Amino acid sequence: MTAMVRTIVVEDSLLAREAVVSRLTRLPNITIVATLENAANAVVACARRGIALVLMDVCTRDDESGLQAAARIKRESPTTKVIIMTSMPEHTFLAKAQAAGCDSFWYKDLQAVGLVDVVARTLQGERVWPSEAPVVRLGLARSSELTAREFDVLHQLARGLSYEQIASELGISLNTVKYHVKNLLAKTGFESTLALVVEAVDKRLVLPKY
Amino acid sequence: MALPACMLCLALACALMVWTCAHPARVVSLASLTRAAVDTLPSGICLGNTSGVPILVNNRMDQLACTLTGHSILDARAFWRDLSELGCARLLDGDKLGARTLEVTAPDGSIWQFVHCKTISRPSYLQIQAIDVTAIARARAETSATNELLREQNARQQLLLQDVEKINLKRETLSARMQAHRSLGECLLMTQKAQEKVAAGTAGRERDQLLLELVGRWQVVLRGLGSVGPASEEGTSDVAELEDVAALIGCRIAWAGQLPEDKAARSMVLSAVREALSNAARHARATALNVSCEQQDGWSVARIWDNGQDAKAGRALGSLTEGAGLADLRARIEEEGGVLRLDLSRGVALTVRVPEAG
Repeated sequence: MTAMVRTIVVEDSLLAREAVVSRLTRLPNITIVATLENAANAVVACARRGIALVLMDVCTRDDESGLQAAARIKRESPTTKVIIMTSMPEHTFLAKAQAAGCDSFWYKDLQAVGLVDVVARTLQGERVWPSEAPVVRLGLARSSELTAREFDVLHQLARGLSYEQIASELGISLNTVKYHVKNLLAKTGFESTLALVVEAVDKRLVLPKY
Repeated sequence: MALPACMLCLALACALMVWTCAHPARVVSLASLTRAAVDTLPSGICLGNTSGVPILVNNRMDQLACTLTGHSILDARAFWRDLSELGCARLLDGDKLGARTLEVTAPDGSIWQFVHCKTISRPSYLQIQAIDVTAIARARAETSATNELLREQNARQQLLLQDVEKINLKRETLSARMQAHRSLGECLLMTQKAQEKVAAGTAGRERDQLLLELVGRWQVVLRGLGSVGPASEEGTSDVAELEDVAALIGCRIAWAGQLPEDKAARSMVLSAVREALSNAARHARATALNVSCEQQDGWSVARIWDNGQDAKAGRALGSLTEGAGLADLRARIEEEGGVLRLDLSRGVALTVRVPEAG
């Protein structure tokens, strides 16, 4: 007899949660022991052994980060498999999830790979990762046209840091920061960094809180 | 740069002047040339002995002295004192060699930096040098104004960013509400029309078909309404979810007192409860967690302890190595201006003290 996979689903949107649960029930060996809205509660739920799989949203209730919770779960219960699910195109999420030791990553809005497939393959020991974050339009540019360093600067701008603080944070010169900002504005066509950052946050391209 | 060039000329001029005094007949023309060269310098130069008696004052410095103090330099030390007491003078930081610097605004608007130092050669001379820094000072003022503007823009940007997320959430909620209102309106209209048709005598199969369609439409609308609204309204409360999770790991939470109403303080207390629950499950083998909350003069104080093996045995723990979870919690609480204390006298008990806003 196949061992049942005790599973927790963390998702703060009711519709998305029900959709995830509904799809998981197609897998015969999955037992959902809890559906949670707050990622930090999943860390507690994994404190005693027996949770084999966690499906984790990134932006959860009370601004708790699913990525931080996932990192702690993997640190304290390395055998528990964690799949990150998100609909946000935020460019750092993939790298953060990998750094946290997560097993797989699923973009909810990209239907190229279905959730059931991702879960099944992850449980078989495979790591399922998209090659890149979804591409969104930012002003005149597509997000894929921005360099990694430009994203870094955009991320720090969204934290409200001054150019001097950004230079110090990223270990680059003030002139280099200004150079990247100038390029960002030229590519996207925005006239001010404020307009650029508001659009980037609005499109969920940068979410510094998580 | 002006300074090294001046220093070089000055040294050259001094050497030539001293030599000129010793051999007046042979080098007077060379000394005159040097003097003329020093006079053409854009900087002002005054060289005096340690008593203040001027040895060399070039034209520029003489003009500046007359403009600023009303007379030529008769005593270099007195000249510096007069400069220091001018209302348009500002003392700047000195350098490591003990030089003092004054920034003086002349009546014509030009800005001059006067540097006062003693030469290290023997015999020692007192040297005052004046450099025109008008362009630099103006650029500095412009940069300072631009920086101030940038600081203001940054502060404004930070405030706006805080609002962006809230506005997005409100926009989504409003959009959902509008959709709900539209659907309800359509259903009400359909119901009214159906009533009118029934009242007008529609009967039999047509009436049944109409009612069936109406019921189906209402069901769709009600199902949609059941899934509208922010997470906190649609699901369980934060405390209820935490209690469910506690039950999942075989622990019961006993609450005493009121959790803080302030969102940040409440979040801190609940984070501490989570941390204590993790500890209770992983290390203490506890089955119950007690949380006692009270509010004191704008502060929320929560004491959290479990009934684990150490607490039951009344065993004191000598020390505790804080793991990442506890360290993160402490950092978050201290960032909010709160305090986290550990009591190890009977197992592990946490006391969280966090300020409440307003």
